[in-house]
Parts: sequence; structure tokens; C-alpha cells
Amino acid sequence: MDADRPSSNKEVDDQLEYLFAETQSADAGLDPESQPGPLRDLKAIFLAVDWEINDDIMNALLRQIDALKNTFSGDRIMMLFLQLLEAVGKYVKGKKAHAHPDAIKLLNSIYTSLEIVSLSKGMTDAERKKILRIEVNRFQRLKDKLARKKAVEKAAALPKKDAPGESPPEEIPPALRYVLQEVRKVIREEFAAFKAEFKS
Amino acid sequence: MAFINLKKKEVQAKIVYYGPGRGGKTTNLEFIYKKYKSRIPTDMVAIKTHGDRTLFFDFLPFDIGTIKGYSVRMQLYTVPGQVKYNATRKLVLRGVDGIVFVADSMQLRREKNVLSLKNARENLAAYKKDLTKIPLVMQYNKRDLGEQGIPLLSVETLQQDLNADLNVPFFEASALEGKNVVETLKKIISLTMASLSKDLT
Amino acid sequence: MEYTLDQKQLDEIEAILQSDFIEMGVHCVLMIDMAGNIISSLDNGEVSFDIYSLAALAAGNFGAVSAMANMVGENEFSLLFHKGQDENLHFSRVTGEFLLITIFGKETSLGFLRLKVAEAIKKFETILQSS
Ligand SMILES: Nc1nc2c(ncn2[C@@H]2O[C@H](COP(=O)(O)OP(=O)(O)O)[C@@H](O)[C@H]2O)c(=O)[nH]1
Ligand SMILES: [Mg+2]
Repeated sequence: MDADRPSSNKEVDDQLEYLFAETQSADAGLDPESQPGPLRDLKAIFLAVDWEINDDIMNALLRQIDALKNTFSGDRIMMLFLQLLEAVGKYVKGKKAHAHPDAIKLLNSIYTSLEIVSLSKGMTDAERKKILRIEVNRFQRLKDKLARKKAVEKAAALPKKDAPGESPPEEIPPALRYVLQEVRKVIREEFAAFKAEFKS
Repeated sequence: MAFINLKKKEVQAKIVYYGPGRGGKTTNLEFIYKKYKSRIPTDMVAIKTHGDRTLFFDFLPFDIGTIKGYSVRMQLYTVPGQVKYNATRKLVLRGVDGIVFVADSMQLRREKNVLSLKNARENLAAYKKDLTKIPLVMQYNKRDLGEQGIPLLSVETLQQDLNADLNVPFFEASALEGKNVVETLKKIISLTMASLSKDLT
Repeated sequence: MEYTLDQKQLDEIEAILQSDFIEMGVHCVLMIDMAGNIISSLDNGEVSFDIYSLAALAAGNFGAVSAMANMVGENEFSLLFHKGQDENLHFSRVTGEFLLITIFGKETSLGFLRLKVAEAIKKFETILQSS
């Protein structure tokens, strides 16, 4: 009996050691729930958006994006992700049931990418940029779809009008205008960054 | 409450087989299902307990073809007969258009029949419907058991107990052998159709 | 006892099922009455469900859930949703007498679907009131 004692104590000790270990396993950082602060809160808000979309929840989302902009102000790629998210979030909040279904999908896909980019420690800037580019392209496609739909609706509303010229910006609804501005900004910034990289 | 679709020229109505537990309601539907499989687009739905007793309802959509230019679909349901399932039984009666009351002819079920009919009256009243006004057919089931020497209630007794004041059409049947199952169904469909409005006449 | 809906009402209901649900990616959508009769139904052409049995079960299920709500002192539950691996079911009452059932996959956001349902119900109510 006595001979067993020290060894079983050691087992328990080892177990305790393991349970109270200060070190983290390699990919522990990938789960936002194990991260403190604003990223974890963003995930919680996205889970809520899955269930219900209303002003309260969308406002919470936009507030959280603002908070994250402070946190990541020094990280250009994260800032672009957050701007994309904000643009689509504002559009969905403004449009509600009339939002394009792709906008909801885009919101989720930007968030998923943002999560990957922000939580994968070893990722290079090139890899992060590649993921960002995918989302920017999706954003662009949605923007095109919305513009086309708008044009069709306009054509249906004014069948006789024969001037096919550029549509005056006043006719674009505010939510959409915001998206357009944002995407132009994002693409401009991206372009500037690429040019800068080529020079260096 | 039947639904008349003026666009598709289609009538959907709900017929419920009511009666005491183990009286043969499910067996009626099973016989109809076997006999008319070709007219029934789907499997019979049965929500049962482990002991094979009806828990919620059985359901059979039955296409009876075109009547007066309308394609007619009868939705056949059974209720769970056991006394304890009154809450679900009541739900099945919602929107009912016609009722077949399946009585058990066995002598020892005499009181159960009477209680079940009384229960039908009460549950219909909860939907502001009147058993004396709704299309109704009586089916005195399990007549085949007489040949095996099992004591049965006479048709006169059954009529006296269940149909004296209602005075609706009745059939002596054996759901197990399929005797008068179709006749019962035809009668309730014809009464139900007759009760539908002038739109169809 | 019966009720009728005319060609115009049914056309309008079907148009909403198409534009508000099928076009947003819902797999199948049904409008039924509380007796389990089907008022109108549409699918995306890629699924084939036994809609008659679905309607009967949905009406029974809705009745059962409403009765449970009453038993715990609720007027009704605001979210009736069943989540599956590939298909999800959502139920919503339309006026006192009808039920809207949507069947959709994981690519559709429940949050967004609920917005669409709430919006469509307002339109259905206007159509059904005119009968
Ligand atoms: N002998 C005989 N048995 C029957 C008849 N109808 C039903 N049964 C039997 O009675 C039992 C109960 O029938 P079921 O249809 O489940 O009754 P329900 O509770 O009313 O649905 C089953 O074992 C049936 O086989 C009949 O006409 N004759
Ligand atoms: Mg049964």
C-alpha cells in the first residue's frame, strides 16, 4: 500500500501541473473565445446576427467595429477588413429585409476571413492580403449586382427615358452610396499599397 | 374547414376517423391505403408510440379525382383514441369537415363507445362546431368477431346507444377484412361534398 | 364550412413566395391553413418533399406548440425553428388562420430569413384580409 502512494501522488501532481500549466498549446490562439476583449465580443455579436437582425444588434456590431478600429489602428490590413465589414454592416442595417441576400453572406464571409487573419499568428502579410483581396472581390461583385438591379428598376420605372448617360449620384440611396465610397477607398488604398511595394 | 382553390380548381377537405382506442380507426386507413395506393401520392404518415398505438394522428391524403370540375383531395386523419390523449385529439379536429365514428362492436367496449362519442361532442364544441350538424357516418366495426364466438353488441343496441338522436347513416364493418370500409369512406365523402357550398354545385 | 381564395389572391401569394423566399435561396416554402390544407407552395426545383404530409404534420405540430405555450403562460412562442444538418425548418403564423413554412439550407441566414418572413407576413395579411 505504502509503495503505491508516492507514485499515485506523482500522477496527481503531474495532472495538476498539466491542468494549471501557464503555457498555451500551439493553436489555442485560434479560438476567439480564448482571446480577451473586442474580438471575442465581435464573435458574440455575429452569433446574435445569425439569429436575429435588428437595429439593436446592428448598432452593437457597428460599435464593436469602431472599438476594433482603435485596437488595430496600426494594422493596415485589419483596418481594411474592418472597413469592409462596416460598409456591409451599414448597408444591411439600412436595408433590413430589402438587403440583397448576398450581403448577409458577404458579412459572414468577411467576418470569417477577418477572424482567420487576426488570429493566425504566423501568417505573412502576403497571405493576409490574399485573403483580403478575395473579400474585396466579393464586395465588388455585390456592388455590381446592386448597380445592375438599380439600373433595371430604373429602366422599369422610366421606360421612355432615352438618355443612357451616367446616373446622377443623388439617385443612389445613402446606404448604397456609403458602400460605393468605401469600396472605392478600399481599392484605392490597396492600389497605393501595391504601388508602394513595387517601388521598394 | 375545407379550402377551395379557385385558381387550381381544387378542393381540400379534412375527414377525421374518431372513436374509442383500439376500435379500428388506424386499420380503416391502412386498408384504404393498401387498396388505393395508386391514388395516394405519398406514404401514410403515422405518429405512434412504441406500443404501436396512435400518439398524435395517422394521415392519408386521398385524391378522389374530379367532381364538378374540381379536383378533390380528401385529407384523412385518425385521432388517438386513448382517453389520456385528449389534448392532441382536439388538435386533430381543428378544421374538420366530416367525421367517421368508428365504434367497437365488442360487448365489453359498450361504455367506451358512448364516452368517446360524448368526448367528440365536447371537443367539437370547443371549435364552435356541432356534432348534430357536421357530416357524420357511424361505423360498427369488428363484426367479424361474432363468428369467433366473441360477444358482440347488437346493431340495435349500438344504434340505440350512439345513433338514436343523431340518426346518421351507419355501416356494419370489419376494418380488418376490409368489409364496408370503402362504403363508409364513400358515404362520408359524399356527405362532406354535399355540405360544401354552392361554389361547387 | 369552407373558405375560398380567388385567382388574384393566390397569384399574389405565390408571387411573394417566389420573390421573397425562393429568390433569396430558400429551398421550399409553403403556406397552409391550420387544418393542414395547402394554400400555396413553391420550391427551387432541386428538392422534392412530400408537402401534403409536411403540411399535416406542421399544422399538428404548430397546434401542439401553441398549446404548450399556453400551458406555460405564453401567448405564443416568437421563434419556431428546427435546425438540421442540411435542412432547417421555420414556421410562422400568418393572421390567426394560416401558417408559413420555410425550408432552407445552411447558406441562408436565419436572422435574415426572419426579417423576410416578418416583411412578407404584412403583405400576406393585406391580401388575405380582402377575402
Ligand atoms: N377482428 C377484428 N379486429 C380488428 C378490426 N379492426 C381493427 N382490429 C384490430 O383491433 C386492434 C386495434 O386496431 P387499431 O386500428 O389500431 O385501432 P385504433 O386505436 O382505433 O386506431 C388491432 O389489433 C386491429 O388489428 C376488425 O374489424 N376485426
Ligand atoms: Mg390508431
